[in-house]
Order: sequence, then structure tokens, then C-alpha cells
Amino acid sequence: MSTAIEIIFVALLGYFLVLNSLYLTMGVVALAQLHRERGREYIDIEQMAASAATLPVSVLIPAYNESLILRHVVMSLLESSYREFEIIIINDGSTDATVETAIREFALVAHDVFHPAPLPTAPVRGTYRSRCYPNVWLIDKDNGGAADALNAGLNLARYPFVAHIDADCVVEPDALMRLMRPINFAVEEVVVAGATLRVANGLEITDGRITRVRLPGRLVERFQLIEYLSAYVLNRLGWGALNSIPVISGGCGVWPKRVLMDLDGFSTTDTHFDIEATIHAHAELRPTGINYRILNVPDATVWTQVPTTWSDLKVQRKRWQRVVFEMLWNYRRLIFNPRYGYFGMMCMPYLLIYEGLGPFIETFAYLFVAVLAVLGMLSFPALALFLCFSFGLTAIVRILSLLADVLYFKHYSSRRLVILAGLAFLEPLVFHVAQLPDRMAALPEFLRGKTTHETMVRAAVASE
Amino acid sequence: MSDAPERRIAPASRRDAAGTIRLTIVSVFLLGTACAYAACVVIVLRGNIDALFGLVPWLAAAALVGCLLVTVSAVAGASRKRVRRRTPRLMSDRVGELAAAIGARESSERERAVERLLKRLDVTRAALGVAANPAIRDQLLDGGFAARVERELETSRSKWHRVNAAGVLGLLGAESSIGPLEQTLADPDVDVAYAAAHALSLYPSATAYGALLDALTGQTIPSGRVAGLLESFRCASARELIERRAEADEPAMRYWGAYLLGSLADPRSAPVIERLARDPNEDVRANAAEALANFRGDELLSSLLADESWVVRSHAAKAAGAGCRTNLSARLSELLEDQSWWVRQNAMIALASFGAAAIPPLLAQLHSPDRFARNKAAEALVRNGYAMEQIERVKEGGLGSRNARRFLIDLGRAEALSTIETAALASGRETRKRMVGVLRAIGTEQAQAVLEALERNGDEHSD
Repeated sequence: MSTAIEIIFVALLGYFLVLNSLYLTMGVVALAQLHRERGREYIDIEQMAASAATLPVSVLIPAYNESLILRHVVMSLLESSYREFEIIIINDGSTDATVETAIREFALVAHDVFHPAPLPTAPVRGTYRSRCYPNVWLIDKDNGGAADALNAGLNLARYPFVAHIDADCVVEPDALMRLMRPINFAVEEVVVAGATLRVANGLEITDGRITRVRLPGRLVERFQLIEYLSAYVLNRLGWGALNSIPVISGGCGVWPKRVLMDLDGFSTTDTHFDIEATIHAHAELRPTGINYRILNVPDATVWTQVPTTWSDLKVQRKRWQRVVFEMLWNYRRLIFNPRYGYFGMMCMPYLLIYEGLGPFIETFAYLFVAVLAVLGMLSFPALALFLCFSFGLTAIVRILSLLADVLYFKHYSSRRLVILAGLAFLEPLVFHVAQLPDRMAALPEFLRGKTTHETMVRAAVASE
Repeated sequence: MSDAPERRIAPASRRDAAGTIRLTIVSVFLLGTACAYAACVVIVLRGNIDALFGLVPWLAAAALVGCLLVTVSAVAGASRKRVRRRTPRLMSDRVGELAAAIGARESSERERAVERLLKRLDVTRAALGVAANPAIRDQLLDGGFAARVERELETSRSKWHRVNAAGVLGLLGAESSIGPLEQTLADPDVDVAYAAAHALSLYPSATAYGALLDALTGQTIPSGRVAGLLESFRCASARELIERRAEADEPAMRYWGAYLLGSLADPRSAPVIERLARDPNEDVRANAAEALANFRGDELLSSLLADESWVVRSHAAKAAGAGCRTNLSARLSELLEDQSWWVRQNAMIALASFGAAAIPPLLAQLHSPDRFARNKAAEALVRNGYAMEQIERVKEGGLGSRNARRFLIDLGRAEALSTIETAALASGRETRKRMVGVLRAIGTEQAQAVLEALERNGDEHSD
């Protein structure tokens, strides 16, 4: 190898080494945190559920064409042990029978309700309240996007904490309580908490209650399962330890209402409101010196539906990548800015180098190594080393996340774990690499200023 | 066997020998990876790339073996059936055996048993159900176990050992442990302090209750959580203890005093609640106002509905609703014009819950010059079902339908149009015609928009 090629090769090795070191460190930190959380089992969830002093929460569910699955999430929330909460479903101008389904399922009746609306939203057509469940509301409004729907819900919400949950999610009965636990025990002035999302495809659900956890049938879903385990069980906890979580997933999170009001609600101009709100919160709160914490709660489990086909996945991943570019551009002032602490010095550079530029660097690396190998300019040990650093170490991280699941959650039986362990080795080699072209294709879309949010075709979450 | 998730965090009881082996494997694996990383970084920095290549077979073999071990241990650990079968036997046997040893005459043997039990304090924590067993508990207490656990609570460097120690003390229930637990309430670590508070809440004693009351103004545990423990704590002298604290100089103590007296709802506390309702601190007055829902005293509640602070008025309105004080309807309906939206909202909810008793003042408020007061009155009339009754009357026609129609017009002018629109959409042609007539009589722009929407809808139906 010539010196130039050697330098490039070593730089690429360094890239993967640093990335996987980061992931492994996150993994270790996350395992330590999971261990600590287990120590907190002495906190009596039932006692918290019974106490009137437990903070009440408004749960917002934006729904766009969710008639098939809306029932699951609302029923699972109604099963919740939480003492005082309200559920506000916001129909965001659905073109299917979402409103009619909700009216039928929850015995909703039109209800004239008057309240201040400090956040501007698309016109609200009407408000409904359930005759059977006094804490269930529905806002029917014109289409304006998920963020706009959430803002309409925020205007109606009457409690000081607001949870947002995607309509395609299923919430475990104690998830809301566990999600609110750090807020109820907060010594910080502001606490934002995100739930741990898991893949709902393959679950069996009856009346909002999970009756059987199964692996999803398709390969693309199973790969995502591995990916979610790694992202939520390990990565979020690791970033949380540095108070630098870049995103409280739109799937499920709890915010203090006043913080959202201070941020002027969720952003309706960006593609994804969740990452924008989280980075915005870091950007606003960190310089003020307010004692705040944005964290992920490992044992608050919410199951979400993931794309079932490769084509849906491509669309989703392209959009996610575009969001990364949007955030990097909108909040470029935070990158390597010591004023924002770990978030500015670690998380934002990570987003830039590994999430923003990552697809380009990785594609170049794989092509570069392939060409060298074909030309016979790369010895076998060098190729093996590259594969170890790029794919092997990522597989180890995935295996660790499986291990964390076994040690602390025990969701899957041993037979299913064998399948998942096999897929964990394949995931970096097949699933991750397959996404690279789509992720790169997001750059032209971002440069064109595209901010639309394509909707995924929903299947019913599970059979009943 | 169902695969439904049983619990999110596996209990410590599942930490058996296999668990320890798994953890060891992971630790060694991670340590090995870290060392390999460090070696690679050093080699790369020195530019000795060939030496790095030389390491490849070793690294690959080690990674493969490591991954294999971790995977196998993970898969083995997932066999819940086995864990379930083994765990209860293991725990009960171990604790039972140790408890028996503690009761042994031989002091050295007893000492060793206590030592062993202390070493497994985290295991013991998981077997608290066994510790709560009176027979074993007595043996543990006779063996001086409580004193040793107290020492553990006070001196251990491990935070979780201290948490576990507090939990064990709570279940053992030795009177002598109240002092150490009380001291632990001031611990700077919230987990340790809360564990002590939780343990104290298991003591049916006035001393423990008093200690928890004092912790309401402590620095470590959020007051709401201590109040939560006190709510579920049954203590014969609770009322006296709270009343004594409710005289404290600190407003926070009076605030929680009012809250707890409200939850106790003991009529003997009425004078104290009345005093707190006149407190100079608005938060204390607000809690006292809410507590009044469970006490007599309409006059006092009425005066709080006119309090200078909107927080107090809001809580008083809530209390009036919760206490079903229908004779305060007129006063509450005046609050629909309050400066604060929250007061209006709570007054509306209270009025809506009063049923027929609140209808006259609400009907009067439909003509208020204040647009939002009209809105709130309309909302209450929809909530309490009165609006639906009037719609039924209009549908039926005949006697009374004229007044009902007039009411619906007022309701529509108070911008409660959805109710009328829904009725028009859901009913037959005759009723629809009547509702359209009502909407025309309302004559506002919004009513016109609803009419147009109805017409469009009618066209769609006819299509």
C-alpha cells in the first residue's frame, strides 16, 4: 500500500474505532444505569398510583388516518394504573374514519369547550368528550401535521405535565407511572422523560393489553427490533448519563407544559417535532443554568409499530436522515460550543460526524476497501481488521443490547433470542449497509427544503 | 406459557449464581474489548500498521469466542422457566436456614450466620416477603439482626446496600430502628432517604409518623412523595400530630398539614382547617379550601370563593364541586366571570356536577355581557345534560318546546353550536328542520357557517 492509501485506510479504521468505542462506552454506562434502576425497585409504584399527591398528566395522541389502530393505544392507556390523567386524541384532518371510529369506540359526544388557545393551530372543527370515560377527549381539527395537532392538544391540556404518544403505540399498564416516576421524584427544576420504545409488530393484543410477545414475521421488522433494542436500551441511557439525549422520541415522552409553552409549542415548520423540541430545549435551558434533566426511562415500555416493508423503511429512513440535516443546520451554533456542555461538545459533533456525514464516509469506506481488495492492494489481515472494526464491533454492540434485555427485561424466550442473536450479527452487514443509499439521498431533499412527512401505511398492530 | 412481559426490571431475587457468571462474562468481555481497543489505538498512533495486522487473527478469535460466550449466556439466562423454579426455593431455604442459624445457641455460629446474611443483604432484600414472616422475623430480631442492619444503614459505602438495609428494617419493624431511619431521612441521596421514609411508613407508630411529617419540609425527598406515604399510613394519633405541625411557622408545613387533614377528613379537625383557611399564605389557604370539601362550613367556603388570590378561589371552586355544595351555585356562577380562566373552569365543572340545582344561575349567565362567561355557562349546561333534555323537547314538539327552542338559541349565541349541529345531523328530517330553524334564529356568523355545513352535508346525503 502506498502511504496515501495507508493514511486513508488508517483514518477509516480510526473512524469506525471511535464510533464503536463510543457505542460500547454507552453500552457499559447503560448497563450500569439499568443495574441502578433495578435498585430502585423498592419504590412502590402502587403507592404512587394511589396518592393524590402524584402529579397529574395530560396524554396527547395525535392521529392521522389511524382508524385501524387508535383503539389499542387508548385502551392501553385506560388500563393504566395512573391516578389522575386525561387522554386527548387529536384528529389531524384524517381522510379515513378516524373520528367516526373514535366516536363509536369511546362513546364520544360533541362537547363545546372553551379554553385559551395561546398556540396557533389549524382550525379546530369540534371537541368531543366520552360519556363512558370522563377523562377521554377528542379534538377534531384541520390537517396541520403532528406538531400542529399536539399544539392543539396543548391548548386544551389542563395538567402541568404533558405526555405525547403516537397512535400506533401500545402502552404497558404501568408505563405511564414509571415514566412519571423520575418527575415525581425530581430534585431538578425541569425534567423531561422519554419512554423505551420497542417493536410492536408481532404482538398479540386484546383490549389494549399485550397478551403475547412474539417476534415479528418479516426480516425487515426483525432487523428493526434489534436496532430499537440497541438505540433505546443502550444508546439513550448512555446519552442520558451525560444529560445529552438528542431526541425524546415522538413515540412517547413527557414534558412540563410550561417548558413547551416557553418553546412556543412543538415546531410545525420542521419535519419532526420530537428531535426539534429536544434540541431546542437543550439550546434554551443549558445556557440559562437551570437545573434540568432530559432522560430516558428504561422500564417505561411503549410498543410501537415499525415499517413492515423495505419500501416503507426506505421512505422513513430518508426522512429521518433529512431531519438530522435540518437539525444540524438549524442548531449549528451548538456544535463544538462549550457553552452547551456535553451536548455541544459531544452529542452535536456525534450527530454531525456519525449521523450527518456518516452515510457518506461509510459508503466511501466500503467502496474504497472493496476496490483495494479487488485490485489486490489489501492484504487479508488488513481486510479482516477492517471488517472487525466496521461490522464486528457493531455486532458486539447489538449483542450487548440483547444481553441487557435478557438481564433486565426478559421479554423474549431463549429460542427467539437465538434468532435475534443471529440477526444481530447480520444487522450491521445487511440492514445498516442497505440503508446507506437512502440516507445519502436525503441530502438533496434537505437542500431542496423538503419538510413533508410521508405517512406510513398502517396495518392493525396485532390480531385480536 | 404466555410470553407477556411480567415486569420491567427483573427482581434481585433472580440474581443467582448463573446471573453472577453472566455478569462476569460480560465484564471480562468488555474489559478485553477495551484492552484490545487500547492496544489498537497505541499501535495505530505509532504508525506500526503491520503489527496491527499481526494481531488480527488473535483479535478475531477473541471476538468470536467472546461473542459466542455472551450470546450463550444471554440465551441461557432467558430461560425463565428455570429461573422461576429455582428462585423461590433458593431464597426461602437460604433465609430460613440463616434465620435458624441466627437463633442458634452458639454465639459464634450466630455471629457467622448474621455475617453471611449481611453479605447477602441485597439477596435478603428480595426475600423481604420471608423477612415479613413473623416467625422468621422474631428469630432475626432475637439474633440481633436489626442492630447489624442498622449499622449497615449507617455505615455502608454502598448506596444500594443502605437502600436495602432501610427496606429490611422497615419489614423487621424493630422500635429501635426508628431513630436510625429518621436520621437517614436527611441523607443527601434521594434513594436512600426515600427508602428510609418508605420503611418508616411501615411502622404503625406515632414516632415514625411524626418523623415523616417532619420530613415534609426536608431537603432531600420531594414533599409530594412524603405526603403520598403519609396518606396511606394509618396511625391512631395522626390527626393530633398533623394539627400540631399545622401550627408551624413554616408555610410549607402548614400547607401539607392542610392537605393531610383534608385527606383524613376527621370532623374534629374542622377548627384547624378553618384557621388554615384564614392563613396569610395563599398556598396554605388554597389547600385548606380544598380540604373544606370534606368539612362543613359553607360560609367559610363562600368567603374563600371571594378570596383575593385566584389560586384560592380556584381551589375553593373545586372543593365546592367535590363537596356538592349546591347552595353555593349562585356564587359559583358569578365566578364564571372571574379574571382567571382556571377559576372559571373549576366553577364550571362544579356547577355542571350540581345537576338541576345549578340550572337557574347558569341560565342567567347565558345572558352575561362577558362572552367567556356565556361560553362557560353553556359548557356547564351541556355537561350536566340540560342541553340534551331541551333538544329532546324540541324534537318532540308540543308543550314546552317553545321554551326549549329559546334556550337552544341562547345556547347557540353562547357559541355552543356543536351540540345543536350534532343533534341536527343525528336526527330525522323533521328534527333537522327544527334545528335548522334554531340555527337561523341564532343569527351569528358561526351559526351561518354551521348551516352551510349542514346544507352541504344534506346534499351529500341526497347524492
